[in-house]
Amino acid sequence: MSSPIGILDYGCGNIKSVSNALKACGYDSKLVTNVAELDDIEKLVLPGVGAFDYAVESITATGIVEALIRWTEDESKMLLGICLGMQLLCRGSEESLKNYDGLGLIDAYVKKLDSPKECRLPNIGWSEVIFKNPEYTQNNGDYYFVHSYGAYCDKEENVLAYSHYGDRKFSSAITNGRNIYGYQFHPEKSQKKGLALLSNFAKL
Amino acid sequence: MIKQRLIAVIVVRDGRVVQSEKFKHDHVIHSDAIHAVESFSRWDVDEIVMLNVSKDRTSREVFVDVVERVSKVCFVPLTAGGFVDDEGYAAQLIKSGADKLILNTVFFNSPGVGKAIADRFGRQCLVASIDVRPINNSERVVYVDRGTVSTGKKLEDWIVHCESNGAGEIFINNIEHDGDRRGYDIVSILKAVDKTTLPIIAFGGAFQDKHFAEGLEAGASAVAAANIFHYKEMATKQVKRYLKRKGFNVREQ
Repeated sequence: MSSPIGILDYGCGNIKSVSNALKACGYDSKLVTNVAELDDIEKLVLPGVGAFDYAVESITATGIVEALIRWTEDESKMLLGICLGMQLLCRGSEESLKNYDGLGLIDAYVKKLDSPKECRLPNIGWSEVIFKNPEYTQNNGDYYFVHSYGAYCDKEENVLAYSHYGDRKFSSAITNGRNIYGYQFHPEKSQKKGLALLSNFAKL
Repeated sequence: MIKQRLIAVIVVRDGRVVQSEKFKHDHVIHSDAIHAVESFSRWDVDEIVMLNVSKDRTSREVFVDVVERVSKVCFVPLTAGGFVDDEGYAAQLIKSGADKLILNTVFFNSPGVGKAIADRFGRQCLVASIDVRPINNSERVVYVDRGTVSTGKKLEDWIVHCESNGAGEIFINNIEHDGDRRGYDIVSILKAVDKTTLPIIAFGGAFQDKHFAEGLEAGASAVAAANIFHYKEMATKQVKRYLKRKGFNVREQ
């Protein structure tokens, strides 16, 4: 019996959508709100719908940040950030008016999407995700995005998948190369393809 | 490249799915919204919008229950709204499974609430619903409170107002087109597309396949409909196939 998948509840995520999707994949989930609850969690989802500053303030207010960073140092633990949750994994974000740092778990910085003239912002809707690793080509396809900012990795090796905004490429999935993953799109809201991807994480 | 979206709108009054015709909602379609959402979720719909059009504010709690139940079977984005006039209720809807919020009258009564919601959940989470009536062929004036109160403001000015108060998308309905099957009000869509770089969602009046194509041709990022999708089995799939054939960039499952 595998332990339930944790969903970090810091007041800014669409936690219900994530737990509903995990349930549809056949996995139980459990809300994590403090350090003690992190202990028996093997896999954790960091969801996020919101503004960067508000999210940093909220996650800091839970008092969990240091413990979470320590938790990820054990490479058998798996962390998945979704949308703003992914952006929080980075060093920081151009969106921050208060110059807050991110969690710094992936060597990347969040910048406003480089906006070609013909594109509307926020970037909202279904867009193709292309995984670089040939092993994941069955996961290529359309996923749901809703964002104005994107992660830009220092090193190409941290980019798992690309998507396009107009004719410009951006990283739609990133990793620290070990046990931390981030998706800019919402797998929990991307029908079958998205649920399959969540199942992959749950099975890791 | 982002795909052009097809959105199913579910109009809810006192917890039941109703038909909308020029903002009158006397005809109940489903007693339970979950049936509509289950079908839409299967039939290639890209997104679902649920609007609470009940007559009074006391319907808010029942609507939260509907959102919560529906979200369990909804694996496309779910936008919810109606009587969202404070940040607490916005948070309650998100917590119950809504992914985005749609606001209308509050941009007139207390626009600061829109801004507060955007500061918390991000602009991308906030859709401004704008209802208009024509004054003449080329001018549109904005109404609020389920189409009952004229703001006296022009559509173009209202879009700027909503955008500066946190809106990340604009959802436009012409009250006279609502439920009357003559297609979208293209004049409104063209004005909106020209006035802002936010995505525009066209709503109100779509009945034939070509109406959806007209909305996208006018520059809308998404085309939405309600009544038609309830009455025609697999209507959404058919519309998608039509749009694909016409060369639009739409998603097929």
